[in-house]
Order: sequence, then structure tokens, then C-alpha cells
Amino acid sequence: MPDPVPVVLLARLALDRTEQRKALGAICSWTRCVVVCATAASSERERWSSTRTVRHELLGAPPGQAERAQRRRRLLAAMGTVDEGTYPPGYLEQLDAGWPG
Amino acid sequence: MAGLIVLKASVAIAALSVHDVHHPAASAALASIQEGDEPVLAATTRIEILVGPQRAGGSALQSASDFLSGCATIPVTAALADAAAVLKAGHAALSVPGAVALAVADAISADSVWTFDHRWTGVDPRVTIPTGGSLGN
Repeated sequence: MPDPVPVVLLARLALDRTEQRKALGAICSWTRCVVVCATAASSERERWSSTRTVRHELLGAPPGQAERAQRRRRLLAAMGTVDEGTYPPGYLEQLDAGWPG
Repeated sequence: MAGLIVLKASVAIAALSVHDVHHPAASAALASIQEGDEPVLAATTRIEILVGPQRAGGSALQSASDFLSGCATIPVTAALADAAAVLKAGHAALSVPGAVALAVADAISADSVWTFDHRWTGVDPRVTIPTGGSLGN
């Protein structure tokens, strides 16, 4: 038996049973792998009960003062340096249109 | 003091683009960030900021990278995605990246959320529309 191989399911595949049957059948016939469905483990849910723990885990160790100052300088220096063509009018709306709501 | 500040893409893009109508307000707000404050992005917000510069390449991409280096980026975990789905289900006006950003704000106990989207002001009391003056809770 081969080792399980994690497979990422996009939304359509995760929700549509017809597509699931077609795709999972193809996956298994090609690779004989085991599909692992990612779910929020109970241990992960428990971690959210401690806000401080989550805050540290998500943000990581805070940068040192010198590094923080350097990052801040780069951020401030970047402001106003991008031309109009990079972010044309309606840019964010066009991106969000790819996430049907 | 603002503390942890979650930035939505509208603020970052306005700060980067001198042609954006909100550029003065975004620039002034970010310039007012204090030593102990930290701008934070959801990973999905980072995507929104980077798509345009990736298309443009060159100096635009370098500028966006420099800007992003000044922000902490929060990965989207399964629990964060679950929380974002709850928010999105309750607020139809929220985009998916918007819901993720608000879920990040909850997860890290952010002090404020900066956006230029006025629809957010009724969703979370921490939402702030930069105006160029002093910001924070």
C-alpha cells in the first residue's frame, strides 16, 4: 500500500458530488493514493480559545527594533512609487469578481 | 496607540499608488504609525496587493515587495477559513478576502482594521477609514 498523499480539493470539487466521483476516481486510478480531507482538528480549535497563544503563533516572534525600523523605512519609501497602470480603476472589484459572493 | 493594525488592500494600494484618490489619506495614516505599532495583512490581502505589480513587473513589483516587507502576513489556517465563512455568511457585502481580513483581526485581537470600504463600518467596531489624521481605537 503506498503512503497517503495529501490532495488539495478546490471548492467545486469539494462541494459537487458528481465532480468528486469523476475526479477522485481519476486520482486513484493514476496514483493509487489516499485522498486526505483537510478539516480543522479539534486540537487546532482548542488553540483558538487562547487569544494570546494564537496571536503569537500567527504573528511569530516580533522583529527586533533595528529590523522593525528598517522594514518601516522600506514601507514608507515605497509609498507613492507605483504608477496608475499597476492598479487601474476598478482593480479590486475585478479581483473580487473572481470570488462569487 | 493603534497597536496591531490590519490593513485591507484598499489602504495598501492607495498608499502605493500616487494616482489613487485616497493616496494622501493612506500615506498620512501609515506615516503616523508609532514605533510599537505593527501593520498586519491577511495572506489573501497580500495576494490582492501583489497581482497588479506581478503583471507590471519591474519597479512596481519591487515597490510592492518593499511595502509588504513592512507588514506581518498572517497565513490562512483552517480555523481562520472557518471564521471567515461565518463572517461572509452573515454579511453579504463582504468579499471573501474581506471576510478573511476580519477573521484575522479577530484571531490576533487587532486594535484596528483600516479600509476605505465604508460598507465595513457596520460590520466591526474596529474598522477605521483613514482620513490622514491620528488613527487608532
